[in-house]
Amino acid sequence: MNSPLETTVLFWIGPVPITQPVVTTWVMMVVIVAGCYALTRNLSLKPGRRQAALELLVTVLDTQIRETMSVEPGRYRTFLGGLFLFILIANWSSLIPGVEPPTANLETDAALALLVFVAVIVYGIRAGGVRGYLRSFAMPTPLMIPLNLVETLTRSFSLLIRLFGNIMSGVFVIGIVLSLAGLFVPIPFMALDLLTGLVQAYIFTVLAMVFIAAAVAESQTSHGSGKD
Amino acid sequence: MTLDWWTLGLQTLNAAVLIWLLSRVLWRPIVTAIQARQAEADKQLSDASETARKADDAKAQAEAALDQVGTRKSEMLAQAQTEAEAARKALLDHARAEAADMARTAEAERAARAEEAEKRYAARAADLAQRMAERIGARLSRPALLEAYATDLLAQVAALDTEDRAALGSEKLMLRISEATEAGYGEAFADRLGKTLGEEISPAIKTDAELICGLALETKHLHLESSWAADLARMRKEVANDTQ
Repeated sequence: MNSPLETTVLFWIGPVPITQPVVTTWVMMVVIVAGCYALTRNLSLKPGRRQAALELLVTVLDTQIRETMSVEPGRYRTFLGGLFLFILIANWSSLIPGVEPPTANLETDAALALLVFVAVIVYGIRAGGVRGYLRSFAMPTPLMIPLNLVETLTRSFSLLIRLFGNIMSGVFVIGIVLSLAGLFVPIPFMALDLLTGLVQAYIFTVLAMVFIAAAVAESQTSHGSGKD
Repeated sequence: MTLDWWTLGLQTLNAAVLIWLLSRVLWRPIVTAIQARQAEADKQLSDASETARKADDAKAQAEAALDQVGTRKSEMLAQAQTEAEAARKALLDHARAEAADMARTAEAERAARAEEAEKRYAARAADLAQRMAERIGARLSRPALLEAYATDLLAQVAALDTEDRAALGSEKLMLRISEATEAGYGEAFADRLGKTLGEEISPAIKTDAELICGLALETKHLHLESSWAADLARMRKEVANDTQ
């Protein structure tokens, strides 16, 4: 069993090493995009079970965004919904034998945290402008600027560590049990891993919502106070 | 522990691309379908609202029409009641007039029948009286009764004016006698008549049973009679006059 902190390079494209998480992610992307394309064809005014389930997913996501961020969900649905689906399916890909979930890899989680970090900045600037967003770091007093900067970095880092720790530990535990006990013993742990994967995807997405909402609200507040 | 920056970059790119692809193949179609259905639902709600408004308008119009019909109905009922009352009054007046006519006609018929019955009863009474008188006359003394009638006839002749008395003497005279109570009674009465007239006469003498008892003188222009039959006829005439 390899160390979870190590990545296996499968092949090289020029100077670029293509690791296993990247290939797994590519396969996963193809499956997700093809599946979504197949599911969203021929949508009609009178939905069937398939369309009703898809619309329920969108409605639940919109409701979650509306209740968490207190904003209309249209602008944030794409990013947050895509993030949730990516993490969820990546987490659950561990159920396929021989597949190591990309989210059990530190670079993948770092990439997701990086996307959230960038999204917070983009949405914050879009809400209150560059000056408004920068001014939000000086709220409530300029003395808080260092702490706010650190907070911005550490909360993204916490996302990375939380997701990586939970998923990696699940994979590691299953690997250990499988190596010690046998074929069917890890099944309860895999079921628990399903729940863990769902909860972690939910937590990561909701925290992203909270961070973006906070940035948007503070940026708008700073923008408003700057005008006054 | 080291980070593989190439993997970090590729995964960042992968996640961003997947998010973008999902926005194209998943979120946008579903949201478009939801919005289309929402728009359709709004349109149908709007149509339903418009239909409901039209239905309310139609209902209001129908209620107004019903009110007009009700008013017209009341007017027609009132008019019909007035006409019916007038017709009833006309029929009653007509019936009363007819009843009055019928009552008058019945009263006239009743009066006519009563009058006719009274005449009939009077005639029967007269017949009865005549039969009674005939029976009484049959039981009386015929010679004495005939003599009484002869005396009365002579008195009538005596009461005649001169011209009539002259006519009795000059014209052809007929003497009718009810019955010959004794032989030569007609000639004897002719003598008594001639003495009354003051001249001798010779009348034609004829027996007439219809006189019952009595005598009658007849010329071309004069008729004198004193008989039981003439008395009965006079009595019948008087009874008839009394009943009229």
